[in-house]
This record gives sequence, structure tokens and C-alpha cells, in this order.
Amino acid sequence: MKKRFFPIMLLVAFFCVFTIGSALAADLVVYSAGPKSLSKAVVKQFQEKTGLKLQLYPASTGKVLAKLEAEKYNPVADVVILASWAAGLGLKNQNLLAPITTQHRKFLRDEWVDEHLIATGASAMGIAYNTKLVKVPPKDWWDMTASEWQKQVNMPSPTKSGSCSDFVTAFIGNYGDKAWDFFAKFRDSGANIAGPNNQALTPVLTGARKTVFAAVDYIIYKQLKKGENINIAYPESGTVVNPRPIVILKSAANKENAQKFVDFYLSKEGQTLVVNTILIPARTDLKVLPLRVGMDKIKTIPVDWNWLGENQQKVISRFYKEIETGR
Amino acid sequence: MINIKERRWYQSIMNSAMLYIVLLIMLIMILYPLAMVFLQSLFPDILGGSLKGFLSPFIQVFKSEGLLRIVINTILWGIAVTIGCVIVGVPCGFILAKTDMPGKTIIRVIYAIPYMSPPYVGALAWILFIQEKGFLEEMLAGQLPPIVQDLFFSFWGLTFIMVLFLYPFTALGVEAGLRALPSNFENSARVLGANRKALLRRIVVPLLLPVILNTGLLVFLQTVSNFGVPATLGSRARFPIITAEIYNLISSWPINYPLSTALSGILVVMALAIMYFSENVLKKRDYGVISGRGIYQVYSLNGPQRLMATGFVFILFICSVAIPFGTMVLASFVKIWGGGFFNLGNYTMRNYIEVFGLHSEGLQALWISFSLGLLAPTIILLGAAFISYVLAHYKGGLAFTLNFIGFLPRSLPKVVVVVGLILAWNAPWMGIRIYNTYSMLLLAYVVLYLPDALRYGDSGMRNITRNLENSALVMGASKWRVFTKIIFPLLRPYLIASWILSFIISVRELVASVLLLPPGLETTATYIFSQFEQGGLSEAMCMATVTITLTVIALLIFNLKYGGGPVQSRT
Repeated sequence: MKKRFFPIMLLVAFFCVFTIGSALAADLVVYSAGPKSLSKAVVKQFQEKTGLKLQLYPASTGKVLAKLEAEKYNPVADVVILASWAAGLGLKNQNLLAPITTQHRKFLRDEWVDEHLIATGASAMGIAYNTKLVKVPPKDWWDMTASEWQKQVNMPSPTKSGSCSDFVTAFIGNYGDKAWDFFAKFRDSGANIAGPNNQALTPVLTGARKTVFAAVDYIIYKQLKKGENINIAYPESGTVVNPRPIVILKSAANKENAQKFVDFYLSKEGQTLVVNTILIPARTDLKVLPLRVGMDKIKTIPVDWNWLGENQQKVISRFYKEIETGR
Repeated sequence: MINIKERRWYQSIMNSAMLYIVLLIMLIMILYPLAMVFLQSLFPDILGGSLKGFLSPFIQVFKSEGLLRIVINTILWGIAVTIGCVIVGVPCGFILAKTDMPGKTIIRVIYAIPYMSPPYVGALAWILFIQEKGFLEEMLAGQLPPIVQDLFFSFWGLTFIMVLFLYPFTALGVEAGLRALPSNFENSARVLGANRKALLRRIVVPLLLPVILNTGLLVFLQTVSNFGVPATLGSRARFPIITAEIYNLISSWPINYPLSTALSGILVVMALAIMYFSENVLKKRDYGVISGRGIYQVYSLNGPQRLMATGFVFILFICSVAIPFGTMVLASFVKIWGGGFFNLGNYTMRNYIEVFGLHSEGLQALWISFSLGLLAPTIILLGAAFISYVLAHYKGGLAFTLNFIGFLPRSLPKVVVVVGLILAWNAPWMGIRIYNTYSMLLLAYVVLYLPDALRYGDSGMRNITRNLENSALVMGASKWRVFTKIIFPLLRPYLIASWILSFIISVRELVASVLLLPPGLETTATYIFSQFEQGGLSEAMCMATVTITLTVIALLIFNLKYGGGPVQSRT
């Protein structure tokens, strides 16, 4: 033991240093919210096609934004994908983004292209319900405080889920104090507001709770496809369809590679991956999977995205304090 | 001071140079990050180069009702867990030290298991056991009164879990205290006609009180510094605790570093106050009779008493071992959640194949943790050997201070130390890009666990007589030669012991990993954490099972080889 221990440790140390060295270098650093499987697939295909080496940090929108803000003095990321258009506008307002264009511009919707943001796809929000436990699908947001839903509703936290933060901000932007009153009542009815989208959904899949308020639709379709007892209802009074922006940071060290990645994401190849994740693709020349409802069939509430971009942080902070953790 | 008369002048320079190297290491690794926490909490915009808003984060904590409630929550929780640990731990220690209860080894194993395991895994497993449509509900065929879940997902559940994982502290302390209690007090009392009850009340309990108070303080400190349980169960119970709130404040958008450091400051004050109280106030109340003489009295239990004691130990076993670890292992094999736990067809090996298949995330995470678990302890070992050697040669104020600083991260909550590391290495003036790389995780592990190794190194150095060294020096050996040929070999058993312990802790380290995770990396703990968040319950439990098994094996090796006492390992 005496003689062998030390050399073995040294050997181990060398081995580790070697493996670390190989993991460090990257041609492009991508922070991506949204489904992990999608960002991994896009990165994988892009790497295979271009031979570039990417470093991916997949997380929820809240975590990605937190990481960006924490690193504002030492930025690391080049490209960022968020599940919240308003959060993208927020970054733009902070003057953190580089201008962005794409060779696929003519296939994209005008309202989903900005000087600094381009949507990679979109999702819509609804009320998900366990089909075994709920025979009559819920009709509207405003009904969810009724006694039959006491302690039966989950909701993702808008501090974590990007789509949910767009929804909450748009809902409050549209209905004002009426919405705040509603959320206070909603909280008092025993709704559980916590975690990213999947964490809110799991108890509904297992039957522990009946519905998810403000569920992002593609996740529900994915479970539906798997054969789980779940479905989604789009409320009658209208919902929010939120585009998921891709942006290039001003501080990006690898702008050229970043632009290549953006173009790949919006190419037919990249967008097919988006379609297969059961999201709404950014390209108008691709159709959604038959499983899901398309853009044209979803009723929306009016959304002033510029207002959202400016006020989202304030609204979400208040929501976290008064609704999510308040009692 | 070195007591060699004929030392050359350059040797004396070399000596103080070594002390200054230690000083530099401590400055960069420990003092700088902690100073950053302190400064950031006082000057919220200091990273932007402004001293505006002095004290505003603290003012915000005490003005905002929600934040103040979190502070109060944390203190209440700490007190409740401490009381719980006394209730459970004192009888446990008493049974072990003072009765003729058979199977004491088994009892020791029963409490070693939760003592060695990270509480966050226990909390997750208990959640799976008790939540709606969980194991318990199926066992009772859906007849579980909802009050059970309401109670579990609340303050009481948090307290319950924490007690299960911390009562061994109290039990160990009480057992050691009782064993060291000399029997002449008891004998005298008996001669004077005291019965058993009076004996316990008048002699044993008062003598034991300082021990109980001291372990109680430790339990309180461990509780309020714990991150894993508040972060997992706390968010479900909607019972926010400081450590989890610090994590939320720096990892969920919109982030707020100043506020997180203000909360850290409050935790630090609690920790330092407790350390001070335990060192200075309780020590004075020590009667000095608990001296470690081996003669002590053992009570024999009668039938009903033995039954009660057995029942007590059995319930402990069920709650702290059988349920959490049974659930963990079973859940790792479950095919479909809600597909029935009593249905053999609902179990599969597939989860393991998916989690640990070639090129899978799980395997990568395991590999990263494993490499950190090998690398960090090695660095810690070398550093601790050097630092303890240098510090053992000095008695002055500087050496004393350095010793204190070296041990500091042990008594501070890990969350606070990690927040400091983030602020320190992610600061705008930081030229070296360590933050956001693997090296940052490595550095954090080293800073967090160096104090444990220093403690081993320190006690090792105490056992090495200075004469060996002096003889070698007289014979003309160089300092370096003395260190490599005499000190290091003699310290080796202590260092290897600390190496294995750091390995065990590093492999499943949660706090630093979650807060510092660089892009493209995942460790076992973050994997478990994120899978659980994302609904991959079986996957999380697969990883937990493998990590726990791995560390148990390492621990068995450790115990077989070194027969070491239980080890502190809290995440």
C-alpha cells in the first residue's frame, strides 16, 4: 500500500487531466432552452454536417437567462435559444444582441423575424388534463378556480418555464388587475405553482393531480403520442402562441459559426427536427404533424410583444413574490 | 519555533517563505471568495464598480415580509430538527452505551447508513414513497388518508426527513458521552440509596447535558446549512428555507446576487454564533468528569423494556433505511409510473441500460463525477500534507489565523462558500477563465473539502514527534528531504483516510455541482436533480442507486482497512 498508492494517484491525475483537456475546446457555445432532445438533435446534426465542435448547455429558459445574467461580465455563450419571445426582446432592450439575418428569410413569417431575434418555432399554451380523471375537458382559464379543481391544478413556474412566463406576462398585460385577482384566487384554491413544465406535468400523468394550467402544448402531444392518458384543451377566451427565438450575443467570440448555426436551425433539415418535436415550425413551407393543432386553429388573446419585452421581468418578479411563494 | 540552533540564514527565509505560500493559498482560495460575499452583500453594485446602495440588500431582507419569513422558517426548522434529533438520538445512544441490548453492531449499521448518505436522495425517495399514487398509497389500496400527504409535504415532512438523516449525530455524541461517564458517580449515588430513576435524573442527565447541547448545536448548524432537502422537498412543501432561496435567487431568472449574499450573510452569522457558543460557552459548563475512563455501568433490560427498545430500533430502521433505500432501488426498475408497484411485469432492467448505455448522458455524468472524485482528493491530499506540515511548525498569530481560515469552510454552509466562489471567479476583473469550466468544479470541491483533510493532517502532525525531524536535520538532510522521506510517509495513513472520504463525498456532491455546472457537463447529483425535475423519476433513481452503491463499496473498503469512525458527509 505504502509504495503503490502514490504512483497510482499520479497516474489517475494524469488520466483525468488528459480527458478534461479534450473536453474544453469548442467552436461554438450554445445555451438552449426548450426540449433537450431537440437541441441535442440539432447540435448533433450540425456537428456532423460542418465538423465544428459545439458546447451545449440545455436548461429551462429561466436557468439560461439566469446564467446569461450571472455571466454578464464574462460572457461565454455565442448563440442562445429561448422559449420566450419576450425574454428575447428583453435581451435586445439590454443591448446584448448582435443583429441577425438568415438566408431562409423568405420562408419565415414576418411577425416572427426581428432585427435581433428570429423564431425557430412556436408553441401554444393550454390546459392539460388527465383523460382518465377528467371526463369533461376544462373550458377556460377563468373556470380553474372552481371548487371541482381545488387542489387539483398544477402550473409551471414562470421563473423557470419560458413559455409560461410569456403566457403570464401576456395574460396580465391583457387583463390587468382582473388577472392579478384571478391568480390570487387561483393560488388560494390550492394550485401548486412550481418547477419547469415537466415537473408540473408529472403528477398529472401519474394521476396525482388532474390538470396543468398553462401547459405548453408540444409536451402534452409528446405524452399523448406515447399513449399516456393526457390531452390538452385550448381555452375559449383565447391563449398565447409564443415564438421561440434564437439570438446571437453581441459578445459572441464566434459570430461566423453562430450565423452558420442559425442558418442550419432554419434550414429544412433543422426545421424538420422542430416539426418532429411536435412544435409549430418557423418555416411556412413545412406543415405541423397531424397529431397537433396548427397555428390557424388556435384562438389567441391580443399580445403587445413590445410591452411584454419591457415589463416581463417586473411582472414575473411580482408573480413570484405574490402568487408563487405568497400565501 | 524550530528548535535547531545552527540553521543557516537562508533556511529561515525558506521557512517563512513556506508560511507565506500557505497564506497565499488561503487568501486566493478561501478568503477572497468569502470577502466577495461580504462585500457584495454590503455594496450591491460592487461588481459594476460602484459603492452605491450600502446595506440595501440587508434592508430589503428585513423589510420584505416574504424574506423575513424565510429567515424565521429556517430558524424554526433548525430548532424542530434539533428537538427531533434529541428525541430520537438520545434513546438510541443510551441503548448502545448503557444497556445489554443484543445486536448492537446491527444498530450501528442502521444508523451508519443514513449518516453516510446524502439527504437529498433520501428526500427524493421519500417523496416517491408518499406522494399521490406512490408506493404507500398502492400498499394501502388507495385508502391513504390525505392528511398523511398534507403533513409530509409541509414543515413536518421536512423536519421528519432531516431528523432521519441527522439523528446519528446526537446518538453518536450521547453514546460517546455515556461511555466516558465514570461509574463512581453512579456507584456513590447508589450506595447513598438512589434508585434507577433518581440516578438517571440527578446524575446521568445533568452530566450529559453539555454533550446533548453541543451535538444539538451541530445538528442545528447542519440543518440550516443543508441544501438538498429544502431544494427537493422544500419547494413541494412550499416551505422556503434560506439555502434553497439563495439557490433560487442566483439560478432562476430574474437573478439577484446582492439579495442572495445578504441571505448568505445571515446564515454565516448564525453559523459563527453557534461555533462561538459551542466553543466558548459550553466548554465552560463542562464539568470535566467525562474523561474517557473505560469503566461504566450497563443496565440489563427486562422483557418489556427489551421489546420496547427493539421496537424503537425497528421503526428507525424502517423509516431511515428500508423505506428510502427500498423505494430508491425499486423505483429504479419501474417501467411505467402508475403501472402498479406490485405488478412484477412493471419492472425492467431497461432503465439501467438507457441511463448507462454507451455515450449516454448518465454514463458521462458518472464519469465526470468519478474523475472529479479521483482528482479533487488527490489535490486535497497534497495540499493538506503541505499545509499541515508548514502550520505545525509555527505558533505565532499568523499561523493561528491561517489555521482558523483553513477550517472556516467546514463550519460555513456550503451554499455560501459556493456563492463566494462564483462571485470571486466570475468577477469582471478576473483574468483567468476558470469559471464555467471543469476546473471551476474541481476548485470548488478542493475548497469545500480541504478543511476535512486538514483536520486529518493536523491530527497526524500532532502524532509525529519533532525529534525525528530534528535528527534528520542535524544529519544534514534538506527540508524537502525531511518532508518527502519522513513527514509524508508518516502522514500517509491519515492522508489516505481523508482521500477516501473526499472521494466518497465528491462522487455525489450536490451544492457546488448544481450552482457551478459549466455548459456541456453534468455530474451524478445534477443528473439526479434535473431528471427528477423533468419527470425522469426512474432515471434519477437509477443514478442514485449506482452512486450510493459505489460510495458504500468505497466506505466498506475504508472501514475494513482503517476501521475508521463514522465520517461526516453532508450534502
